Amino acid sequence: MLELFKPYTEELVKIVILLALISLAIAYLTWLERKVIGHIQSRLGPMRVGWHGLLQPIADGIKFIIKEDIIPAKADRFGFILAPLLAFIPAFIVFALIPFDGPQAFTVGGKTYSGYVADVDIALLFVMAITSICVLGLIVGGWASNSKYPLLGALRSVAQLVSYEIPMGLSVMGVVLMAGSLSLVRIVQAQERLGWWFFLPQLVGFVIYFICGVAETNRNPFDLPEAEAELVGGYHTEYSGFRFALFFLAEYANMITISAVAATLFLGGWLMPFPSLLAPYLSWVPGIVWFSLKVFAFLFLYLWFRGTFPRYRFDQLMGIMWKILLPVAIANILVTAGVMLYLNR
Amino acid sequence: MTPVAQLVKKILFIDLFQGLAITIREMFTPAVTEQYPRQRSHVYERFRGEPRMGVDANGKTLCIACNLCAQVCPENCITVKREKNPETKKFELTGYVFDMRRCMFCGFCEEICPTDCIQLTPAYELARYDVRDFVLELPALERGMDKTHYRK
Amino acid sequence: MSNTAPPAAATAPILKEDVMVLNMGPQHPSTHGVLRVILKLDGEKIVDLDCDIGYLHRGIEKIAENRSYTGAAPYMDRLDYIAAVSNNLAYVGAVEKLAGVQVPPKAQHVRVILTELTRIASHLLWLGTHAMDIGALTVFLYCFREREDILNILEMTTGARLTTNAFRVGGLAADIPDGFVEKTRAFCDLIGGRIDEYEGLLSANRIWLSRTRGIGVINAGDAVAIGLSGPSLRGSGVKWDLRKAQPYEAYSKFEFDIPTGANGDTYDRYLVRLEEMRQAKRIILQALDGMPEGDFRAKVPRVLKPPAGEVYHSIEAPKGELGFYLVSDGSANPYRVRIKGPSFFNLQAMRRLCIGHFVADVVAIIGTLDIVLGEIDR
Repeated sequence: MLELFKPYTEELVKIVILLALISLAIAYLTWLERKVIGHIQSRLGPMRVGWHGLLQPIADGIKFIIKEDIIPAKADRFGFILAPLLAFIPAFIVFALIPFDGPQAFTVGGKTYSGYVADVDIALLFVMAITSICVLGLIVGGWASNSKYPLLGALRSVAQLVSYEIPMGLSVMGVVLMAGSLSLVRIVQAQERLGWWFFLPQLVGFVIYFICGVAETNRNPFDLPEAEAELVGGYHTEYSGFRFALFFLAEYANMITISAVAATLFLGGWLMPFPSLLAPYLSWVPGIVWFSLKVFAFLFLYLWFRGTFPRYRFDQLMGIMWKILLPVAIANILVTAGVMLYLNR
Repeated sequence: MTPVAQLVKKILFIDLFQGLAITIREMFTPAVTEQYPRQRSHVYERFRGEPRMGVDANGKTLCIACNLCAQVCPENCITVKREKNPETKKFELTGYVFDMRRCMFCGFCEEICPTDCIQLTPAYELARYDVRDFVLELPALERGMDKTHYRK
Repeated sequence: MSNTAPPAAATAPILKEDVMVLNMGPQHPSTHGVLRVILKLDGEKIVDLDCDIGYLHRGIEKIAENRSYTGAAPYMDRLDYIAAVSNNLAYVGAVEKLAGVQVPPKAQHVRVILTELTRIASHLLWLGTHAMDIGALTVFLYCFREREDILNILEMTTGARLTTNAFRVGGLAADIPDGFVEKTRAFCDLIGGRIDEYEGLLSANRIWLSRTRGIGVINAGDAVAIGLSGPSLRGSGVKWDLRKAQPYEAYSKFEFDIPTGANGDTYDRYLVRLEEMRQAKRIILQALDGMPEGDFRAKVPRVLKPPAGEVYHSIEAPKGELGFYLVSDGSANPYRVRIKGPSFFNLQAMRRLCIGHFVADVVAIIGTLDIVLGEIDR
């Protein structure tokens, strides 16, 4: 049995490290969110557990685990139990394909390892496909709760997520056209060759991608599925304890995913900014640091948005998507394709 | 503003950036949070909190058992127990019960008291574990309620 | 609570089996208390709606009959607990009218200052919760930060932050404390810029505009017919403000404008309330400048026995016309206290405003009507 796994030792070790790091990142993303939004709102955020509340995520995690597991009497037990897993697992799978660093990221014992678990030719397509499985979790959860508010929340989230997949998929097409590949590693390498990151030539695609990303992760100003003021808690109203925590973690994992993909596609992944200027001084900084900084910038934007904007109404949200984002995304593809054709003539 | 300018503004997200600028500015201004058990808020002297009965320099109550506070109290939470001294023809205080369960801290009692005996003091940490602790008798009113101290 | 005919969208035939009944409240984050709204939904569109009230009924009118005229005043703080000072002013004013008590000018000025501060506090709380219902979390905390300053001034002056029991028949409970004028002035200096900040976050924001423009539209005629008052009425363009129409206390001495809206939608009511805060600041500054010297309380017998008769006294509370109808039989207790609260009448517009809109708009409309259940249920 062990022999079977032997060729994949490198991948397995990386997966274990990644799982630990991502879990930690999510935990501290919740801390960061509370801190950032707290300071935006002239509060302090968590202060009591550990220095400046640094142990707060751990306290929260313990609280979630030891809480009573409540399944409503009239709920569909199978669906109710399945839903959080459906939301949670795909959110973590995606990280296998994110290139945190280049192909020659680090050397251990004379052997060079890459900064990602796998480089798949259709990585982008795979990421898009897996992230949309999360929708299933939300609708199953909303339906299985057998309650009206979760049902409304689930209906909203499905409509929202399914529709926003479309402009999102289209918005990255420009990048794919420019890079000539769906592999995330090769997209970054294309940016290195080009000397520009894709957010400049693909500004429209970048903006659309990020708007859709915010909508995909149900974050403000598109947080309708869990609009607290209207739907109490949205699709997870009936969930508590660890099952709720899984939904919660999935949401934050998705935020990191969207940010990581955005950093890879548009901000040059692990590449250093202004290489001609900074390379002599900062070439010792590993690529994963640059990558993390870019992801952090996106995450900060998420939190900043949440601290600033009101929430769209459901029909307005759909209107924006179908009437504005979709046509603009298609136009963007056409223009990009035309320019690429002209350049490669 | 012309429609074209409006459209350009909309495409450039000017309205949204305006809001973002405000929130980021607030982020770097000091927070106004008061970390309660560690920092206790400043309470003004007129604050109507814990009821207390005053005593004079010899430790004798200031109360003259006039019963005005009991009469003025809208919630009837004050009971003045008194007896008429047959010699002096004056009332003497035999007991005083302040039922804080009913009290709504309107301050009428302290306002009407002719000797400034009963007062609502600025002490505001009034939570107790036992509801019976809210029925205050004369000694407790003179001494003050047992303080609940919240640790840091 | 049915009233004027619902708009055409509601009367269109609908398939009954598509209608889902959704209970919003009494435990719900944005019904501003314990309001229960029974929504009949077609998808997310509201077909019909019914408001169920009474979860916070405490029988304040009846309690007042069993208290002395002065002793009933603290209970009135608990009607609209967000603007306790206004409630107190209306009740005390009614008793003064009934008993024929003249209030000294200094007390009148302080009363105006405190009620206008309360107006700002009430509007701040309204703005915060309204914005939070529409998803702007941050405005809520900014508003509460400024409201804290007002509560500090109230605490300093009256001795309590929420249920202030600020006034007595004949004047004030106590003279203004040292530092009151400075503190109030400092607050007035601060609040103007802060209102601009809220406006910067909301007024031009496209999301805010799309959530409030054209939502809950009511024209002037309907607004009057339903009995709306306060900013909800003025948002529809009716220039009716009791401070101008029948000035009480010292309001006739001060200069201020009555902001009105044009379209009668949620956005207009929002603008009206923001402008009212600025006008309130203007009144406070004038009252501080012209503060007269003298007594803070007229001589009033300890046991007040007004002559038999009846009186109606109403003031412009932050939420609208707040009136007290008192009947005296010559004894020390009122024979009847009838409260005309603005929230109750404003809530009547709910059905008229909501039908045809979405669930998400219900919370916006509850917010824009600025209701307080303590006053509706009494």
